[in-house]
Amino acid sequence: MKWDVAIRKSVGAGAGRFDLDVAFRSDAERLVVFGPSGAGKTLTLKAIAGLLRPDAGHVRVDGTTLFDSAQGVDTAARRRGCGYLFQEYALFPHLTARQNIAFGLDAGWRNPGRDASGAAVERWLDALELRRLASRFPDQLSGGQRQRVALARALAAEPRALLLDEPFAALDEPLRNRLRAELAELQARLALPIVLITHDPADVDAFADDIVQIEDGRVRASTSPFLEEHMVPTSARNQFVGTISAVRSGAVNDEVELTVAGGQRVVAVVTHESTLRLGLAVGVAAFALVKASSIVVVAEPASAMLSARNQLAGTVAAVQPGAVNAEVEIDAGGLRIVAIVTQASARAMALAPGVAATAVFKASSVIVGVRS
Amino acid sequence: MAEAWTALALSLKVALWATAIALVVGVAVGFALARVRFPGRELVDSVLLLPMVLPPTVLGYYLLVLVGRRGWLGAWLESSLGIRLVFTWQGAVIAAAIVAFPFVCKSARAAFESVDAQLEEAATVLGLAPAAVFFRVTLPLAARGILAGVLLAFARALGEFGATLMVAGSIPGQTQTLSIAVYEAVQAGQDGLANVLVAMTSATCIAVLLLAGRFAPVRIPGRA
Repeated sequence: MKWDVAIRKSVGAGAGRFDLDVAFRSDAERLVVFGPSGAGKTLTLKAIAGLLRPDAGHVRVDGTTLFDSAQGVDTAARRRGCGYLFQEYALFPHLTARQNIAFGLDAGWRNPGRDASGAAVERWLDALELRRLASRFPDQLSGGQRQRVALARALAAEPRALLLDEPFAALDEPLRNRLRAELAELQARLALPIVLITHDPADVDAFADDIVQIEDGRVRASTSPFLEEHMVPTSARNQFVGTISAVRSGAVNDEVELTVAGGQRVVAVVTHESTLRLGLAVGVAAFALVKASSIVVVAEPASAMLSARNQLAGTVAAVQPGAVNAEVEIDAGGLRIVAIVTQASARAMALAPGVAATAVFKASSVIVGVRS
Repeated sequence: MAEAWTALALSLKVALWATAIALVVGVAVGFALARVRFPGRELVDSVLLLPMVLPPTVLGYYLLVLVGRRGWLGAWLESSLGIRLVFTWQGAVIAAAIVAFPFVCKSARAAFESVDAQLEEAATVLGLAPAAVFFRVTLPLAARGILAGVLLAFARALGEFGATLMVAGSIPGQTQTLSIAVYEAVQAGQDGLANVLVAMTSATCIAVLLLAGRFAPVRIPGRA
């Protein structure tokens, strides 16, 4: 289990009292904790990092117990090895970009010098294209550059996991889109487990392998049913509600087929462990979540040449152009599917209401949950 | 003339020692007041500010009660350690340090409170122990504010008169600092000496201010 978090914490007193009580487990490399401001997202992230001591509960990352009130385990924040990206980046204003990146490499009493060097520093200066900014102070950097320096600083310390607090909130829209893609690519390259907290549904679509939705200090929805009895809307744009019509067991992964609205079938790949844990079986009321950005729109009727297991044919019901991307709604025999494609693709394919289109998505991009 | 130089040297020695003591204690106490929450914190803050507002003679009296030969701390110091503070330059240092202390403490607290706690958290998750966080993040960012307090403290220590006179007296070459020497010279009608002493004091103060401007920490770009 990548993430196993269960924490309770009361902060403040009287009318200002806030009770946090969240629990979630996930095997996702990219977990998004989604919820409105003041929901307790940052508190949750700080508890994972060790900056906030829960009243009770446990925090386990990648099988390592970092905190467990029952066992009396409470690893100091400085020994947890969690990279943390603060919302406003929290770069040290008295140090240059280079010194900031080198900061965590030596835990002594003196800051790295202006000429601080080392393999990790050079690697991240290059990897994040910061070399020509190395001698600048944070106040001389733009928002996007600051974010990259903060990311380099966290990564240079070789963390076991990366915790991101609203990483894109301080940036403007075009930059946000670019950095989302960069971060996703970086994560894939490093195979580093990431928790990202956000109030922006677009972050979920662009980034989430798994979602935990919290509100008012509680988990509202998660794909793990033991956390919450009732299914409630998540931020994934496609939420197909249906019944499991087949479960085909494999060596490691199982294939689960859901029959959803309009009699359409959605195939998902889940780990065998999840099948057992969630009690996935034929006849079980379930739901499937698919991010809009995971769906490819194919103009021709789908062919057997595509490897994707889910190919739902229909017609375009609506096209909503945005600044960079367009949102395409496909009606596949009564099932509404939302896909995000680039404006350029929408134009090239002449996507317009009434045009035949097939929604294609991989079985591994479908998240399955159980309705009670 | 020679006695003027002696007084100047003594003044600088006393003020430097006093400032050093006020710096270490003031920064530590200022940090505690800024970062540690405890009941009665504001009361402690007010009491520590007293040397700033009390008449120096009252302060001197308190000190005599405390460290005088029959004072409870003074008696113990003399009987067990053989240290006598009254009528010594060390006594003058103690008096000046106490008068200078609030300037450092007050400005240190304000400077520490203005340091973004998130920067300390960032340093912690990067693997630093609390002491390292203090010396690498908190102190450098508070340094400018603290330095401003230190300058005021040094100036105050240099000009200290009342409490020093009560605790250390006016022994030429031993406890007679510039400000006391000026008083003595005027009382004795030695106007020439008084002029020299006053000029010396003024020049010293200007030099201190110039030096401070020169050695101020490197300005952080983009910050006032």
